[in-house]
Amino acid sequence: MLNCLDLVRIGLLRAETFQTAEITRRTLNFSLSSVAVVEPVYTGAVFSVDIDATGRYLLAGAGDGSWYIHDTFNLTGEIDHQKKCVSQAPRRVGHTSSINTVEWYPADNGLFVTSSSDGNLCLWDANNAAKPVDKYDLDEVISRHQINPCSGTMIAACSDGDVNLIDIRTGTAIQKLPETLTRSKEVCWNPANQYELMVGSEEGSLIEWDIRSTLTYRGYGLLEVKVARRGVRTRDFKEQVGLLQKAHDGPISSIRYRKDGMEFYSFGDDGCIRRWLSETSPLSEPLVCTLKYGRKSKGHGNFQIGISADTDPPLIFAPKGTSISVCDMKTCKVQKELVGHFKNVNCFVYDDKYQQGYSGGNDSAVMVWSGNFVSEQTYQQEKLNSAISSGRHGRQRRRPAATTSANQQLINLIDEDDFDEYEPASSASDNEDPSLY
Amino acid sequence: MLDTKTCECITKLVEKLATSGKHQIDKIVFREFVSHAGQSEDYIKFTLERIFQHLEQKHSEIRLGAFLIIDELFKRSHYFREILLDDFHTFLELTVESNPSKLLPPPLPTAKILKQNVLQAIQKWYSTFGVDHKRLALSYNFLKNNLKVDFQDALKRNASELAQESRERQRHAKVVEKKVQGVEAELNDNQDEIMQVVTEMDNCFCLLIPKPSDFGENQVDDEEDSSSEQLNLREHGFATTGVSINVQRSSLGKVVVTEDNLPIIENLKDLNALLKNRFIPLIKKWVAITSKATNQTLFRKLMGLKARLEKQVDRFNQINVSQDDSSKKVDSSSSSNEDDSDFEDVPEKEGFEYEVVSPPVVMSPPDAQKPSTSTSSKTSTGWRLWDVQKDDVNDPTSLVATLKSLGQKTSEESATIASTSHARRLNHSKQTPAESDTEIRKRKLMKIAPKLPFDIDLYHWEDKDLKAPSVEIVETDGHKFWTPSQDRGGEVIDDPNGIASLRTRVIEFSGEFEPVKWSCRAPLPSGSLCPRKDRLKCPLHGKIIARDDIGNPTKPEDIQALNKEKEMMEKDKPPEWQDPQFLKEIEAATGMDLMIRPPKKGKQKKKTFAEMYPGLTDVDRKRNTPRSRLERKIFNKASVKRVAETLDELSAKRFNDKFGDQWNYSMGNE
Repeated sequence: MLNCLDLVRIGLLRAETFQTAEITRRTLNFSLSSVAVVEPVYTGAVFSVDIDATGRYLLAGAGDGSWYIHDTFNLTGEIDHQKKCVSQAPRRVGHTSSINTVEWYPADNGLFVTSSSDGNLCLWDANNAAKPVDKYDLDEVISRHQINPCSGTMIAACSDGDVNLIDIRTGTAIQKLPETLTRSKEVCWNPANQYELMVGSEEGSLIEWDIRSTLTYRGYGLLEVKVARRGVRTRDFKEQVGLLQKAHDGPISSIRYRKDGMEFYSFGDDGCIRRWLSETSPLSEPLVCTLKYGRKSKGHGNFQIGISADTDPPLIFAPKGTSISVCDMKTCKVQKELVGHFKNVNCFVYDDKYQQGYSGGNDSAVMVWSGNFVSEQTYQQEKLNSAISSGRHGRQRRRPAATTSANQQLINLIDEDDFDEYEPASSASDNEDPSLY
Repeated sequence: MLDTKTCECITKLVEKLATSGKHQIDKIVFREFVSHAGQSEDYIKFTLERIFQHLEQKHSEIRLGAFLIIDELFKRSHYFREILLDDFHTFLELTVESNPSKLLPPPLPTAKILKQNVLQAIQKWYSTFGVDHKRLALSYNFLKNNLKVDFQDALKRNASELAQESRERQRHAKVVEKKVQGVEAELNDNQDEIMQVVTEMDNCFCLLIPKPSDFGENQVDDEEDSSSEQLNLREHGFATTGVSINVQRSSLGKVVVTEDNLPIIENLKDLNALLKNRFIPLIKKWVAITSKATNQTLFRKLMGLKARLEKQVDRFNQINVSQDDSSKKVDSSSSSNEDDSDFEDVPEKEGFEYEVVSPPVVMSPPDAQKPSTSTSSKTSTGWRLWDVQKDDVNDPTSLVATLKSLGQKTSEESATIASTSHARRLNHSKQTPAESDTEIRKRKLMKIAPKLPFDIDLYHWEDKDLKAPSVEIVETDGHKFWTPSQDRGGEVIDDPNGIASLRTRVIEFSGEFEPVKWSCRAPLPSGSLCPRKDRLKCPLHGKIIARDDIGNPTKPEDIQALNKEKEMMEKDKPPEWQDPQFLKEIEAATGMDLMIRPPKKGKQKKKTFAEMYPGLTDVDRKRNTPRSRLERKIFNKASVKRVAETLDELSAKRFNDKFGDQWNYSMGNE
């Protein structure tokens, strides 16, 4: 890193390149943070997490209908810290069953939107979260919603297989997209074109709508993109479903666009992540590559993948059982598995600004993944050393001199019969054998 | 780089530690193990892999052993902690059931101990290393908040569980004591009554059955006589001190009911019923309660009482009460006078059976069949129409029984007919004295001639030119489903057996059971003789041979065979100095194992679980109880099939004999 900095200074390396390289390095170094913990306030599984536009506040929605906002900034003055919860859902107002999606307003952190299995979509004022600012009752389970990142006023919500468009300026559900013979499960706006909406369905089809005119839609298949007229429910309904182009073998749980809107990634329950080109002419091949990260999952998953925007090989963080796969979508390989959760992982969000990851799982915990492993380790070691030098462990003096040589080995062989008050043997061994690190 | 030898050593030691089955780690082995494993980080990593292999075994004791190693290493090595914590969720899944769908394997008590120990250890680890290892802290919080593990409780569990147990035991003892006290009170209430009943019964017995002493015989004299006699015998060279003569009494005596003793007997019956129905069950209940008590005096007392009452009941049962004719008459008349019942006397239904007599099934083991000569003779003479057998009379389906019932019914008629026929016969014999010769001859021949039931061969006995029977195929005319493949309706097929089918007769012989009248009588270590009654071979002592009173074989060839067997046994025996105690001492002193083991014959058996891991309980072991062993034999598919086949065969033969001429039975046999 320091070498690179010099190169940048001299002018041999472009600043952007350096930035990408450093971000990529940190992201690929992700491991469970040994200094930061998210305050354990959750009582149910965490189904959705989001980071606000400023990169400071973490929003998480839990299975019991509550949401929590954590301040990710460390203002305690110590490296070892907890990400404190600064705001949480009021009781008896808001959602009555599990929150499936939480999302910050794309432009600032004054507003956020939650949607839940109880069929309500709530708008909240982040500064005054006593009750929802606005509430839309869609009657059926809302599996996913997204605010249009360009306009910021349009929310697309999937409820009971249909896609509803809500305009928060008028406060009404203005439009319902026509039926496409499939049950929609996931929606995602194109960040570049504000009128393009990608819909993933339970049958595994990817459909792109132009909401200005819903007469036709584009169906993404493995080999081609087809433009189709909007479906009419007829008698041979089932046959028409069979004719639909399939992008995945199972339900599509999550779709993420690249920042420029040129590419997007779909995450299916069939164990595949696919990378697609969005700006394609009909009948051309949209699929770039497929990564098989795991086996076909059985249940109806509610997963959210994370995408790192600025890294050089685009990275996808996909929940896979109790771990998170870091998928390199350029070479189509799983780079790493992030292990730390005790139960299934549901969602992951990548913090672009500070290169940290947050994941929520069924073990009702949000975990922090950070890439500056070395600095954290150094800090730990320093802490230990200072603790030893300050004589925190008085027992050290009592130890016979002979054991010092034994500590050349990695395992202490001090016969500690009185382990009821056994002191951290690590501190001693680390002290004498720093090569461990 | 890993050294293969060290790796092997580590693998072996990990296995030894993990499968020891102890709840504490073996310090000496562990030291040796650490000397290998602690050489480098790679070895530690390798060790962890090996440990995880054991941790994944479906045996809680192995898991506990593996956990003990982990615990020791966790305390001592920073690197080990790091790599273990990377896989900590797997560790938790395998030791504390963090995944509810994956439960801990058997044996259950050890699984419980394992879980508790791990939780205690995690608590300790957390308090010492929680600051350094974020992941450990996270795991701790996960267990605490998510799985609701109460660590404080887990630490206390051991002590509190013990206290709880002792409290429970005390409570139980108290309950038992209370119950016993209740029994004692009840006994005090009832004892007088019981004793009264017993005395009354005793008196009744005295009145009914006179004792020898009642006849005025002086027993003392008797004894003196016998002793003097003994002396005399001794002078004659008879050693009669050990002789005791047992006189078997079949019953206490026959008591004839007369008008005099009727009230006594009635009284006795009542008392007996009282004992049987009330007091003995009551005492049995008390015995069951008091048997659990620590103080056994009451229990013994109750057992004595019970024995006494049972003796009385036995005594009553032994008395053979027979009705006197006079009393019976009195009885019946009085009873008929007394009860004016509403029921009318209904004549017995014809052919009604009070008891359903199941057909007697005679099982004959295959080797128990009689020699062929007797069989043939039996077949020629045994099948008589009038062959009266005991069973047959009881069996309502048999001809004999039918005839008997018919005979009873027509007894009056036949009585009259018999007299006339007798008269006629007398006349007949008088009229034809000349024919007596042929008649005598005929009678003689008839005696020898086999008698067979009427059958098809007799039907065609005198037909000289028989035609082979033929069958005409009937067309199942126009049936919806059962249309013949080819239209063969009206076609006539000859019986494949031809004329023979009309000339032959099948006689089924189901054999006869011959009870085993001999026993094995091989000498037993107790001094008695083997009482097993087997036909040919005793399962314990081999072939059954002729033996004398002491159990020694009498035939010379048997003696020879036995001697040979003995010699073979002696040959196989290790020499005398191979005393296991002595060998153990030598081994302890010198460390040498001088045991001579018998050479292994044939294929080497696969080692059993118990041999491989002597410290562990065998989870998969099938229960080897007498019941299960018998079950395996009796409910064995083959044996069930064999028994069923034999029974089927027997019943088929019997039915063929009895109802062979009936349509449904004649078809069912084949």
